[in-house]
Amino acid sequence: MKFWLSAILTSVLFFQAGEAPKDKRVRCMIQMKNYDGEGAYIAVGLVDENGKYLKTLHIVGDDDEWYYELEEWWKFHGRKRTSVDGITGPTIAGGERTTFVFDLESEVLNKGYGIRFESGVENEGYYPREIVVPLDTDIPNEKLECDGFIRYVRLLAI
Amino acid sequence: MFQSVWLRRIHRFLAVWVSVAFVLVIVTGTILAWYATGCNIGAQGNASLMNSTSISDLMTSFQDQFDFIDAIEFDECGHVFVRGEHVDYAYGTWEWDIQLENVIGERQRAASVVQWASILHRSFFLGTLGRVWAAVSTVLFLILTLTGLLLWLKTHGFKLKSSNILHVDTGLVLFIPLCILSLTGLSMSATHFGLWKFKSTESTSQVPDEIEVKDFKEFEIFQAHALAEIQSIDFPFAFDEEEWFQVRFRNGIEVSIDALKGIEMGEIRPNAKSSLLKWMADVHTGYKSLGWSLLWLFSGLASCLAIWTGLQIWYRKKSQIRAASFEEISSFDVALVVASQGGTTWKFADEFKEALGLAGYNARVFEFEKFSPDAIQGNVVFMVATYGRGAAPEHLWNWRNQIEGWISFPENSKVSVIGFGDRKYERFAQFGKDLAEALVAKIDKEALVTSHSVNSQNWAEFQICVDRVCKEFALPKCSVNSQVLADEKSFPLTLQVHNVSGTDSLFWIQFVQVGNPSKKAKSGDLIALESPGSNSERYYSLSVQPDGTYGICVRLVEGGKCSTWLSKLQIGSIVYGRVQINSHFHLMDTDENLIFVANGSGIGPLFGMIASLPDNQNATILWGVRDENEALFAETMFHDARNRGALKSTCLAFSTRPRDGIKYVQDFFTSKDKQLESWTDSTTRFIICGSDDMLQGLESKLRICDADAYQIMRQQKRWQSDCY
Repeated sequence: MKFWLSAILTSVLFFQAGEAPKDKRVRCMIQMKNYDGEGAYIAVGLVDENGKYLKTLHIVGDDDEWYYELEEWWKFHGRKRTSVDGITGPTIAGGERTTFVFDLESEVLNKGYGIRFESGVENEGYYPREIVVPLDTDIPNEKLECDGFIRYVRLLAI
Repeated sequence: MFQSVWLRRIHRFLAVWVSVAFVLVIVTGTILAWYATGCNIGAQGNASLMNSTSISDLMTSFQDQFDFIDAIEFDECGHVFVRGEHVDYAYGTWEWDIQLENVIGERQRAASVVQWASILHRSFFLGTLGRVWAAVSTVLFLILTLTGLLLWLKTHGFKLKSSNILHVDTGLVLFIPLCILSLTGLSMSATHFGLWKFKSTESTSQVPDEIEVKDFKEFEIFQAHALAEIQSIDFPFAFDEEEWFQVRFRNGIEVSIDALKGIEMGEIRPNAKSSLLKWMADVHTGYKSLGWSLLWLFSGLASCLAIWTGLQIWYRKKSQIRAASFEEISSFDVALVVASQGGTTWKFADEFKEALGLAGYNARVFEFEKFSPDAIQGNVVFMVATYGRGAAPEHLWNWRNQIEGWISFPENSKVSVIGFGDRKYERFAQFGKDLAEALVAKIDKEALVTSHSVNSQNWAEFQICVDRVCKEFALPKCSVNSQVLADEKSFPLTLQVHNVSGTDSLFWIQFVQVGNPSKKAKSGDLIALESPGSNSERYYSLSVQPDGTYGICVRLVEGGKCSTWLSKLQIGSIVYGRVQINSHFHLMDTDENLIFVANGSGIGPLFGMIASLPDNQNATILWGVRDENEALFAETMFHDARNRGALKSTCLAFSTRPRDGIKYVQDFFTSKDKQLESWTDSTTRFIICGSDDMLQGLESKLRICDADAYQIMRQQKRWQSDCY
């Protein structure tokens, strides 16, 4: 009896592991509006269903002395100061665009989570929620219009 | 206009103010210039490949090596970087080898020392505050270099020559490069702070629907341009409609290319100001070309040298002030205080000291900057060299302050200033004069301060000064450097007017010698005379008669200070002169057939020469004057010479009243004068004195008469002339 029970459990676990959904690699592009002023700092992060940050996916702007200006994200990042090495890039100014790649674990899909874009420009303004892109089974492929300094973002699962 | 002392103060103040920033910027700038030079050398090695490879070739070479590409960058060092997802590696920025057509590794950031140097250079790790400090320091630095240049001009004028001071010469060499660096750096700061903005003209165009979609590697723009022209290419996010390639050219032009059809969607073209800004940024960083980066590398190293030498000057000054101690001075009879730029004046001081020692007096030589009269008992002789166009030596720029700091001169001690200088300069020995004036003001007893001057480091003149100083100080006579005195080509001569004859316009002054000069003058030597109140000398050809009297012939020049002064001299007046030995115009002991030629006052030295000729020399003299009256004063001298056979014939030409077609002396050579026909003989010697015009006229006449004979005579050096 014990043998059969353990055999069944093992095969179920094995079967389940074989079917587990894969992590997603996502390519992201941010296109800025034509504004005057300094380069923008943008935080791209994974947020839960309440919009609270769970993980930093990418930072546009590599001078950490200005990170505190992204106030919402700083509440999440500033306490822990987890390393953002390898997920930062230079600031982008009005009219410019940037592309980058990040990984999404499969379990974050279909849970009401989203990818939040938060932006700020020195002396020009701050947009805590440019857009929150919902994470369903499929990553939306179309242009996603934003509210602040970002004109649109595009995501592409690769 | 600014006084030198204020320019120096501003220069030093700014040097201290900006020194911290300056040292950091220069040292880090040198590191960056070194990196840029290495980068430019690398780019030059890769240049032919970059020029021959098109963008299409490059994109084709990627083949299936990338899943997708976000951008391609071409850096200043000739490297190609591809940002995208490589099939074998992860997403990243990969360095691409054009020749091997393969990824050679992940992008290596510049060495950390270069990154560190860049941040330190731009902002001293202080962010915006540091950038502001750097910009302000640059402005102050520009003023610093300008004050340095003004100091140079004040000291040396517009003549470019070495000052023999490494700090000054380095500063002069660096002036233009450092100004360019400062201005281009400031323009970059202005751009950063948005004070000077890049501006460009944008144009857009519609993409026609009828054009077919094609592979981007076949786009015309990618086939037409070589990699060397490109700065970067941003790829479209996806090959969709309304997506584009963004191509940035090295000349600042940006073009958007439709991702599917390869048609130009828009263009951004920088205007002239933006192009200038870009040029300045490229020049400042040294990436413009290898020449610029090498210039900055050299300038950086030379600036480090300038900083070091500047610090040394400052330290020397400070240590000299600290080292000044005067307690032992009181045991000396005479203090010789030297201010010298190059050190030559020290020789004179040492000789003076030695001469005083031989006479039984103690003397000690001091550096001006270490001297203070507060503790001395005896007399003081300041021996000061004038630097440049009338200034004090470089290291004594603060000499007035030094004097102000002296508490008192000992009572009854006498002070003499011997100023060394060069009469070529208008402000001859000016530092000596200024110092004497300042000492009179300080001591407040004019009678106790005397002033003398020595021209061109002349030992004979120095001896006269020493004689006078010894007399003033009630010391016995001292002889300085008698060997040098014997070898010198110039010596002082004091004369007393004995007789004046001639007309108002041309006159002959006879002198008798006063005292014993160190050497004997000869007819043909020059005597330099300086009229009272004038700072410049005038030279006259000297005549020395066998009886030891001297003479000069003077043409009165309208408005001429010296000739006017000479014309007004009374019998018995004393004249101080300096004899310049003119050995090439001395009369040789010869039995040659002599022909003397002169015009106007050029007859002066010839009188002495003729008077010293032996009897029956049978020489000839040709003399050109304006009219008969001007020649009357010489009649007796010519008569005597003819009587004893020294002169055979006297030929006078009168320019205002020509006789027999003879207006000028050279005209005698075309008048079939039998006496002069013999000039072509190999035993004839010409001795000529007067104006340069006369000399040229004579030469051309002789060439016409017999060019060969003239040529041989010149070759055999039977031709002595002294014309001006």
